[in-house]
This record gives sequence, structure tokens and C-alpha cells, in this order.
Amino acid sequence: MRAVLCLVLAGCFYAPNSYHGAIAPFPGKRVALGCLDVAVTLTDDARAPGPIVEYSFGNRCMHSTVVDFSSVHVVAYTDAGAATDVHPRDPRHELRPLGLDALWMGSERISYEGAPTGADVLCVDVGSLAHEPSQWVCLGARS
Amino acid sequence: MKALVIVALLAVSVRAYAKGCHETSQVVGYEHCTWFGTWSRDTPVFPLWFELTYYRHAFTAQPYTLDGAALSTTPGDDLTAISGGPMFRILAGRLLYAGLEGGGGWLSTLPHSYGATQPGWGGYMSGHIVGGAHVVLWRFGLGAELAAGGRWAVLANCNAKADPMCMQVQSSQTSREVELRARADIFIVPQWSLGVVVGKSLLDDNDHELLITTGFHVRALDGAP
Repeated sequence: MRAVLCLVLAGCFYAPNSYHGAIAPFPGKRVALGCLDVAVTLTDDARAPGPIVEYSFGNRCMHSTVVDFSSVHVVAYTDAGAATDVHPRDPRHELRPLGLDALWMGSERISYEGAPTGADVLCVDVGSLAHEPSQWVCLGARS
Repeated sequence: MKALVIVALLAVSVRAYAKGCHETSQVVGYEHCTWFGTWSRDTPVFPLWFELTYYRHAFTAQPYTLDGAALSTTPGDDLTAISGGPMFRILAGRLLYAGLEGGGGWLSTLPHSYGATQPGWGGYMSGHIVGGAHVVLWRFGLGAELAAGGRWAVLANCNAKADPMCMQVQSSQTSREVELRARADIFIVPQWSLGVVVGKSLLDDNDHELLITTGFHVRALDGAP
């Protein structure tokens, strides 16, 4: 039914609080940030080295909002509790703040580098994605 | 079913530009067929799009004859012609855009000729340079454009391909065209739209054109404001 409405009416709008994309639910842990509904999870890839974080996001507002992957703060933790900042691999220098239209959604997978050997938890300040106050989400075996 | 429909839409639209490209990674920086930020109209990608279109063009043909009869301009002679068929458009730009279009088909309504021999078949081709402006609010696009170019029509007493016994007599004519158009689009996904374009000639009051389009956009929503 929704697919028909997508065709006939106004496109596949993101339904606020649904954490659901055009095809499937957003995978991972969910956080509401101002206009953004965000879900994050660890994933893997055939080519890119890990750790890789998959971000899924939808704009719940009736106006455009910013999504800024260049400002996301990510920390890796070892089993001993040592924390190390990790950074996105961006070989083509693509990461930059971009606008997300009202009631629209998207997803990106980002590979991070700089995690020490033995780091098994990755904590993401999801709030920084939307320039909102910090909201940390930890992913990994011990999270 | 829902998933199949949406997957089909996405497959046609988002990846249309990358037909033949085999994606090996979904991670930013490792992708071959796509790039970071395809979901945003702000992504710095050239705003190019292609439109597959069905056109219906009604116009007044020039007086002609298929048997050498004298041309007259007697009121009531019906020179109305209507053509429909496929058209391809390639356009680029954000708020302001420009491009080219070309199409062709048969004449479904044939203009009367002078003399005893009436047409039994007609063909049509057209090409234009297009310039316009559009905005996209939410998923809805509105715009206006000017198309300038020409058309070529050929009229014959019979279709020689369909009737090999026919002794075909042809008359062809060309005309300049300048059309003012209004357009409305709906973006089903940021890279795929459906639209309607309505045009009226600035040279001939009886010249109207309707385009039904589907557009495949490299940049989400053409980056339009």
C-alpha cells in the first residue's frame, strides 16, 4: 500500500520515529536527535577495512536539517579500558556537512582508522552528527 | 510486494547512471558506482539529468499538395496535424537549466492536402534547445522553460513500407518553433521523477505540445533550491 502511495502521491517520505527506510528498518541502536532519527550499527565490507559503522537516518522535521559526518566523534576502547580517538577513512575527501530534506532519509557506511590492537568497543557521539549535544552509543562485543 | 516495487524503483533510478558498473563496496571512499551523500541535494555532483518522454504535439501544417494542385488558403481547409511519440531530453542545471531534446513519431492526425490526393501517412521529427528555471519544494518541482528549434514533417499518399504496391508521393515541410512551457514534477525518490510539461507556441496560436516525462537525475532533486 505504501509503495502505491509512493508512486501516486508524494514520494517515499520518512515517517517520523519510524526508524524505517524505503525498504527495511534502520539497523542498530536508535537515537533521536533534534530533527534526526539515527540508528548506528557495526557492519563489515568486502573491500574496506574495519571497523565500519553503518549510519541510517531520517529527518523528522518539515524543513531541511544538517547531517555532518565530518564532525562525528568516535572513540575505540580496549579490553583494558584505554580510549583512543579514531578517524574516518575518507580517501576521496568526500565527507562534509550536507542538508537532508524534510521527511527524507539516507544511510552511509564509514570505515574508521586508528583503533589500537585489541580494541573491541567503538563508541560514537551520535549527537555530533546533527550538531546536537553529545549522545554516546557504544557498539561491539562488550557494548 | 512493497519491497519489490521499491527495490525496482531504486534500481532504475539511483543506479541508472551506473548501468554496467559493478559495485564492490558500500563504504564511503571505496565505492565505484556511487558517492557520499546521494541522499542530499547539496552533494557537489554536477546536476545533470535525462528524461524519457512521450510527446503529443498539435500544430497547423503548411499548405501542401500531393498531386500538383494549386495551393489555396480557403478558410475551412483543415491543416491540423497531431503527432505523438518518444522524445529524449538531456538537461543540466540547478535553478537555471539548459539542454537539448529530440523526438519523432507518426502523424496520428493528417492535415488535408490541396487537390484530390489526400495523405495516408505522415511522419514527424523535432529538435529543440531548451532553457528554463525550476525549483523543488519537498518532492514537488515547478518550472518554466523556453524551447526553440524546428520540426520536420513528411506527408505521403500511402505508406510504402506497409503497401509495397503503393506509388508513393511525398511532400515535406519544415518549420521553426519557439515554445513557452510550464512544467510540474514529482520526485518519487531524489534521483527519479515523473513530470508533465505543457507548451504553447509563441509563433502559432494553434500549436500546443504536451510532454509526459520520467527523469533520471544524477544529483538528488537536481540540487534545485
